[in-house]
This record gives sequence, C-alpha cells and structure tokens, in this order.
Amino acid sequence: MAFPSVYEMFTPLTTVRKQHFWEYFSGATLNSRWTETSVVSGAISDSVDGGYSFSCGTGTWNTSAINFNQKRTFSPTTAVAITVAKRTGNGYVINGFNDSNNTWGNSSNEAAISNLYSATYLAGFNADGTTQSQGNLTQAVDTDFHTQKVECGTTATDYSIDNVLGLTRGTNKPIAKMQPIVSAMHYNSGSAPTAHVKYMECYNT
Amino acid sequence: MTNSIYDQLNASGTVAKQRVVETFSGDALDTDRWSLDVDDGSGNVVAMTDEVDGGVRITTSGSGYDRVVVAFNNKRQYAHTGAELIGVRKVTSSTGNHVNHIGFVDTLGNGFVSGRHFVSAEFHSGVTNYSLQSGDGSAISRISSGVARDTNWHVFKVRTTNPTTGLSVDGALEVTKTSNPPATNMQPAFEELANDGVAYQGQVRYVEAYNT
Repeated sequence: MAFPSVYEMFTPLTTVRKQHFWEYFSGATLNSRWTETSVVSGAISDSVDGGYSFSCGTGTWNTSAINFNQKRTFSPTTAVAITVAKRTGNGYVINGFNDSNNTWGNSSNEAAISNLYSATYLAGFNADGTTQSQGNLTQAVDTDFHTQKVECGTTATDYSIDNVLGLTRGTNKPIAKMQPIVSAMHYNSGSAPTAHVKYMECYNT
Repeated sequence: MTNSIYDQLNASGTVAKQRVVETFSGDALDTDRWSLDVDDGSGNVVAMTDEVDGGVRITTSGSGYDRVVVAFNNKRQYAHTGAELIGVRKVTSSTGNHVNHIGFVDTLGNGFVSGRHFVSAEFHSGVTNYSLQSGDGSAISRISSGVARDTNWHVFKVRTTNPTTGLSVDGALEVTKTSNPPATNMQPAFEELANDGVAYQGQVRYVEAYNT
C-alpha cells in the first residue's frame, strides 16, 4: 500500500487541494456530471475500451459537445486537461477547455487539441475571447486513440500527444475561467464526425 | 508503477473497505450519491459553482433559522470504530451567526446536534478556532484545533476510532479527544446552518471518506 487516501496520492495534507476530477466514461449511461449539448447518438459503447461516443449534425459547422454547462472551475493560467480520445468520420473532434458550451471560434476562451480529418497534423487551439488561432502539433492525424494533454500556463499553452510535447503556443491564450469540453464538429461535407472518449482528467495546479 | 488504484490504497492481500471520493466537478451535484436534508428553510440553493476551484456551494435562504445538510440519505457505511474523512471546505463569511460542519453523522434531521452520533470539523462564527466536535447520541463536546476560523480553503481530516476522535487542519498536528465519541455507524455529511436570517455560504470541493 502506497497511500492511505486518494487525496495523498496527489497532494500532501499540508496542501489544500485544488479542483480536480477524472472521468472513466464507464457505466450504463454518461455520468450526470456532464451536459450534452446538441449531441447526436451519444452512448456508452458496448465494445472493449470503447468509452463514450457521440456525433453531431451534418449541417455545415454543426457542433455538439459534452461539457459542465458553464460551471467553469478551471483556471486559464494553471489548469491541465488530459483526454484519451479519437475521431472517426469526417470533421473535427476537439478536446480540452472552453468557457462556452458549444462555440468554437473567436468569441470563446479556449485551449484545446483538434483532430480534423483533412488536416495533416493534430492542432493546438487557443482563443482569448476575441481571436482564435492554432498551430500544428507533430502527431499526424489518424483515427487512433491518443492521450492528449493541454496545459494552460501563465504565458503559453502546452499541447502534448502520448506524452510528447508537440506545441507551445502563447498567442491568443485564454484569459477567462473555463470548463472541460469534448466536441464533435462537422466540417462542410461528408459524414459527421464521431468523438470517442474513454478518459478525461482536469485539474488546477 | 503499480497498475491499479486498488494497489495504491490497499496492502497486498488486504480486502478493501468502503471508500468514496467526490471531487464536486460537473454541471450539477451528483444526486445519485448525495441527498439533501433541509430544515426550516425554503429558498436554499445547493449548486455547483461557476468559479475557479469553487466546487459545490450551499447558500442558505436568508430567512430565519435555516439548515442544509448534504449527505448519503442515511446510508451509513462508515464505522465509528475506524473511519476517516478528508474534506476541503471554506465558508464565505467568518462572522455573523452561522455554523458549518464537515464529517460523519449517523442520522439526518437537525444535523450535527445533541442527540446525534457524529464527528466533525466545525466552523462556528462564535468560536475563535476551527474545532473537533463529536456527539455520542446524547451529549456533544468540542476541542479547539488551534487554527483560527477564516474564509480560506482548508483541508480538514477527521477520524473516529472509539473512543478517540481526531482532527487535523491543513496537515497540522492532530488534536484528539475521548469525550462523547460516536457509537454507531455513520454517513459522510456537510452542513451549513444560519441562525439569524442571513444568507450564508459554505463550499466544498473534495470529500474522501474511508474505513480504516
């Protein structure tokens, strides 16, 4: 036995623990901590390592998401999101932090990793409520599960895939409190994307 | 590296005892797990906060005597002979006339009071320091932690081994007592109680309870 408590796995009792949660996406249905916004065909998968999957509409830029309904307990400067997710179908699957429930664009605060079917590499998104911008990571786009880590710092956001740092980006970094989010966003043609997620953990440092 | 949480928390060959970990993260309080017990109040609000590191917040109604307990609906799986609870809590006002508890209690209805079996980390606006308080079903008593009450977040650890109960605040040296220990099984609970018709708030962002 290494620890008397889960608390002490991460934090000594002399330190007041900050917001921290983890989600296994295991069970009969999606845990009630999540709000499903415009989700299509959301369900816990009946498959090995399947987690939870959901899609979105097929209209141009149709977007769906699971989120905390704007209970934004995570800091734009000291928060980490770790997500094990993959995309199938066309369009985007995006995971990380967002201050809105289902908006990807200039007007949100965002720090997230996107997997766009037609791109060459996964991308790291920042948005500061006025402007959204992105940069490429080193991981090629595919349809495999990856461990995707977004670390919001005071001057930049770090984006890692499978424990390899792929991008550090300070431009348009978020400036407002945020919530965890996983999104599926239709691009402009073809089938809707499906997001598959089997783990998400977020914490303030 | 071990492959399981089980092995991190339990010695080899040991059968795990009851444990719960609640991180109070999400769009709403998990009412599959937590129940509300409200006394003499309408208009209380128990809701997740939209605040960095905010967890869940109890806000009393601001009308007369008012008490809200968040607990396990009398599902009492924790032993008075060996249980611990770690809670991260704050109150948003250290003055006025209100009380906040986090710990174990046997039965809902009137909260952490005389007549109940309980052990808690008590905030009391009329008491200088955070206190270890316990009840044995007939009488209650408290001992000071030595840590002054305030409006900051703190980590509280309460334990009961019968007859000894203990409290540490932010990992500091534990205070203990043997008077009025709880003598029956209990449930995790936290409470905000307003005595003077003012809306008070108590927030919790972590609870872990386990039998030892």
